[in-house]
Amino acid sequence: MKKIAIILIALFAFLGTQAQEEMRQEFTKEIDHSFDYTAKSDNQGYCYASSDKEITVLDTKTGAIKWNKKFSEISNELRKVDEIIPLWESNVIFVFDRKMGKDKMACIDALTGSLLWISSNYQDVEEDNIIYVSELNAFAVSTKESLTMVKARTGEELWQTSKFKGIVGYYVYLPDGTITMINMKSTLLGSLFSGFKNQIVKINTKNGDVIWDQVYRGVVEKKVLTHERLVKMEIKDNNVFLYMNGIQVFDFSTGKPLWAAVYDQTPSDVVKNKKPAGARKFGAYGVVAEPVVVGDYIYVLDLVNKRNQYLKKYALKTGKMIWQSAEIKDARAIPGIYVMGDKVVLQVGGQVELQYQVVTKDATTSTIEMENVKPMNVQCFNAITGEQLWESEKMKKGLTNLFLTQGNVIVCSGKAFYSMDLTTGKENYEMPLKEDNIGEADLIIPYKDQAVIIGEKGVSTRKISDGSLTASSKFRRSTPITYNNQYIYGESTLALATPKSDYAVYDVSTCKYKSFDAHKGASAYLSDDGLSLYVFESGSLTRKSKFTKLSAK
Amino acid sequence: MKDLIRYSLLIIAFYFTSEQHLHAQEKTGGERVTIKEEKPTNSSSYRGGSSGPLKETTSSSFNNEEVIKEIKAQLATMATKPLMELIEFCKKNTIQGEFVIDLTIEGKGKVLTVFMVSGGEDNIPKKNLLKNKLVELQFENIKIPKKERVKLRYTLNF
Repeated sequence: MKKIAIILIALFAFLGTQAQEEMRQEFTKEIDHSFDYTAKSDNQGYCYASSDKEITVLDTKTGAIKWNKKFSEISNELRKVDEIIPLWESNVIFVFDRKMGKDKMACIDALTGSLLWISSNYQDVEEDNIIYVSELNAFAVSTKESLTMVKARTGEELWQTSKFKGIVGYYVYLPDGTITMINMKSTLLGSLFSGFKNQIVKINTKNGDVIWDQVYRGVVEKKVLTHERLVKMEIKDNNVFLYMNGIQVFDFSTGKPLWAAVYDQTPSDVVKNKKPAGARKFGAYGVVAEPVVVGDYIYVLDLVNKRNQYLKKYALKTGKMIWQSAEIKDARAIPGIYVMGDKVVLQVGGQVELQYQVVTKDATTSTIEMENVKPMNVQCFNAITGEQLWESEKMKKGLTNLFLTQGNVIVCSGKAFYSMDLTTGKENYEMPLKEDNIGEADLIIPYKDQAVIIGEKGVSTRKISDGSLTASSKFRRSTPITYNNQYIYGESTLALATPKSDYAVYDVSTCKYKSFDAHKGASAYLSDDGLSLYVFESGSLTRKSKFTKLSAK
Repeated sequence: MKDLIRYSLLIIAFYFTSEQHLHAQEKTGGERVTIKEEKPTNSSSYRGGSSGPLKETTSSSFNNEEVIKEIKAQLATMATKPLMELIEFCKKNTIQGEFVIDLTIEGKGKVLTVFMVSGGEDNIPKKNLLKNKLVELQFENIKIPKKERVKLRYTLNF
């Protein structure tokens, strides 16, 4: 009997492994060199894989090699390349050969591999220093000393101004030919020595005229590992809205500061206790929700200090404060503000993103992970008066994110999935996630009439109406492939990646996935339409480098 | 109460910065410019403004006519040390031809912005070299009040 049971278990295990399909390879192309830099553009239809000495550009549709060259063949002024920046719209690739004060910046035709121009005019330039202006087919390069507008394909410098200095923190280009941008510090030390000054400027890109310049408040932060900037700017109704630790509003025509609601606390500091021992770099993100604009009003959080936080509503046009909520007691993190009708919902505590780098004698380890910050609850306020309507502490032990739909708050505690009535806070249902078999939930995303639940070890879907499980598929411990907070590509594709570069591409409409196990250290990109997965695997002495296109369907 | 004090201070700070800014805007007159033509004198190795240099003046309370006149005079004669160096630099690097440029100047004659309006398209590295040199230019005997800028158009002929 025991024997039969073992055979049956083995049979089921075999069938179980067979059930999970491998992704179909559309093509695999060998590349004759190892590489550290990869990128792809679906719009332009090509990608590249490059080492510091050699680059190969391939067609993403067919895998054909468009060209391959050593950088020293492209220009005898180039040796080892330290950074590559593609400007897809202009079909050029910038490469940087850095040598203390003698940086070379070369512009290469991405379609042919021929050198367009090379210059040593731009020192200490990184990706953040370059803004492409497609209308002029030119880009602005900011350096420690000045801002220069350069024609992309010829290197012709149209204008240069020393009125704007530093790295571009954020910019908005408008069809009237103006660019409004803020600067930011490159490094703390560098900015101290060069007398850095916070600037927000409006520049005529055609001739370099500085139409106005002003001072903004605060420090533009960048994520410590992924380098995303934690600032946003919007131009609407002749106003410039700068979102950074609150909001600052300027007149777009004159630059005149109109009003501001900013706090001086650094959100990362609020969860400093999460910093691992020995971490050299550390940052916590999503600790404070971004302001939410609804009609003529904005809802913004104010961190008076680490323990005292308030929700405030302002009239966008005048900056008049409409109301301030009662103190949100003991909140250490408020990652979300959501508005629907006359209700404002706050997510207090829950998952925040931690990025850190720990350096030991043996290795440098970079980690990005989600961490629950306590206390955790959901609070609802009257959007007209600011009065608190209800508070739910059901998610005391865990809280992912939440979303509002059809008069309900859909939220997940990590172990259970909830729907609550937006008006009363009363639970419509509480569904444990045990049967999903995907580990603890990290994130929920609305998808049609379902919620996609991304767990530590897989994905499941549940009906929003009654919380019932529709489908689920367990994978391995993994994180989603995401870019600019986009998780679902095309109609229904979502991809997970393990630390060992094994990939699972899900169709969230069925929750089925196909997998591909790449060599550790591979890099992968989903196509914008969600139909393909591109995998770059750098080779070694014993193994060839490869570029593989896989069908995600 | 703390909040009230905080935001009052913030509003006061913004009021002052905006007042200063408006002051500057009024003086420079923002985007409004008028353009006049003027003939310069020629020097032996350099013909400045041979096609008729353009002058931009702003409609502001600050009278920048005198400053523009002085800068143009210096460009026409090329007699100051930095301008003589510019001539030498162009000779050394065989930079030749006609270049129409817009210069924005502040303080004691420091060049803030250079816009290469036209010229030199047949040899871009040399055009860029000239622009780099123009950015470093310092005009003499110029006094532009703080937060003021003077912009002028000029035709250089090497």
